[in-house]
Amino acid sequence: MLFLICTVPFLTSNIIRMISWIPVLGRNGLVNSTLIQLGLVPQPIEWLLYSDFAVVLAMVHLYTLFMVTPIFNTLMRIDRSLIEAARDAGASPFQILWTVILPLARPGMAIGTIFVVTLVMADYSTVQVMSGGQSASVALMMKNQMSLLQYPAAAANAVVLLALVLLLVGAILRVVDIRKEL
Amino acid sequence: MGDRRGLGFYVLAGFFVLFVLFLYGPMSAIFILSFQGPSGGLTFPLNGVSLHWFGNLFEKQAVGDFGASFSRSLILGLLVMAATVVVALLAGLAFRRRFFGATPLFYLTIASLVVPSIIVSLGIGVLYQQLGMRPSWFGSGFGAHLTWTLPFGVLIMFAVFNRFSPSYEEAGRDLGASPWQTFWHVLLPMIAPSLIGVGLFGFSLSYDEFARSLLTMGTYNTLPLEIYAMTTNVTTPVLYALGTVTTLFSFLIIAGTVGAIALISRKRAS
Repeated sequence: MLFLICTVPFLTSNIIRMISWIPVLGRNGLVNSTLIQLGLVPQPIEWLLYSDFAVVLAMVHLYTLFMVTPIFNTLMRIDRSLIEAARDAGASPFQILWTVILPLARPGMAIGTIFVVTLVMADYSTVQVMSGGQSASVALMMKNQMSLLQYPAAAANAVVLLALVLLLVGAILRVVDIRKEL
Repeated sequence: MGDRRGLGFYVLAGFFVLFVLFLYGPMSAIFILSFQGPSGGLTFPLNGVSLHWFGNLFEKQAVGDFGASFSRSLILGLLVMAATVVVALLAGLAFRRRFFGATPLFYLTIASLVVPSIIVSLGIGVLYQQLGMRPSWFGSGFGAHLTWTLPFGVLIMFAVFNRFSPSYEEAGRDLGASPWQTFWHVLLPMIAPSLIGVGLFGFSLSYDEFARSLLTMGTYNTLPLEIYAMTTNVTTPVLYALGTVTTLFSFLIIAGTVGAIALISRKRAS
């Protein structure tokens, strides 16, 4: 049930979830007006929206599930008796977390990393909307080249980006075997 | 277990509540703002409460044609859903056995998932241009969406069949059922909830798909592209009204799917 609560927002439109940050973070947005009313800041904080901060915040908001689900999946499959055995052997809760649960959750983290890396690498809409055109990413650059019909340049960028992403994914796949983890 | 819930539990529970707030907070802001009065702007406070912007949504607008792009997205989503369910089921069945080229095929499927979406879009767009064909939402757009939904569906079916014991089918076979009967009466009912889940994924991934659609939709926009165009041009709460409507629609679909799954499991239990 709790998992369902986390999942539902991810099945709704990405763009809507992205622009919903605008009334929250904007110059007259929720955060700024609350802070001013509390007297914490004298004038609106400008770097909340249309900044790198906003881009990162929105991306975390958009892509967390792709990390949560694989880790959830691996954690669910940890045999409870392993944890009990560790406790019987005198491990503290922290030791159990560090030496038993974390290593077993590693495949989930690796798969989640693959998802997040590729999604962020390909993202241009979040960067464009949330930074207000002030910062750039590879994908945004490609998108601009495409809209200027400079397909060769965009294609060259695509090849480099693809090689980079495949290298990263290849490196992660050396750590886990996806087929075993499903 | 019988543990007492320590400090750690409450810290983590608090963190989880914050996380849920983080997930839903911005969405509820948009939801409230869509009921903005006719003179209201894009931010708080509300200038009266009205349904003005919802009405505005269905009128003719300078930018964006909501109705047409919505129905296109809906049809495309349903098509993608059907294709994804069928292919994922068949692929899942096929991969239960080892066959020639299984591993390369598997990695090709994964590759389609990890290739950055904008590259897929560019590739399909350029290919169509080279071949002298016109991209269209039901042709190249459909294909572009499948490059995203199919690997997802196949991965889910892998996970399902990895946990599925072949002894049920053996039992069916021992009782004299033909392979088709085993499939129809034993296997399919057991994996039906997962198939519905795959369908839901296929539909919502396609319904929200954006980057892959950029160069592949041709003349007519799907809904996400339309919304994206609107974010740069529209400065009235009609944008929020649109957001509320599409989000409610997504919620309806999700609720319907979860309900269907619950119904099937209950029927099986009785």
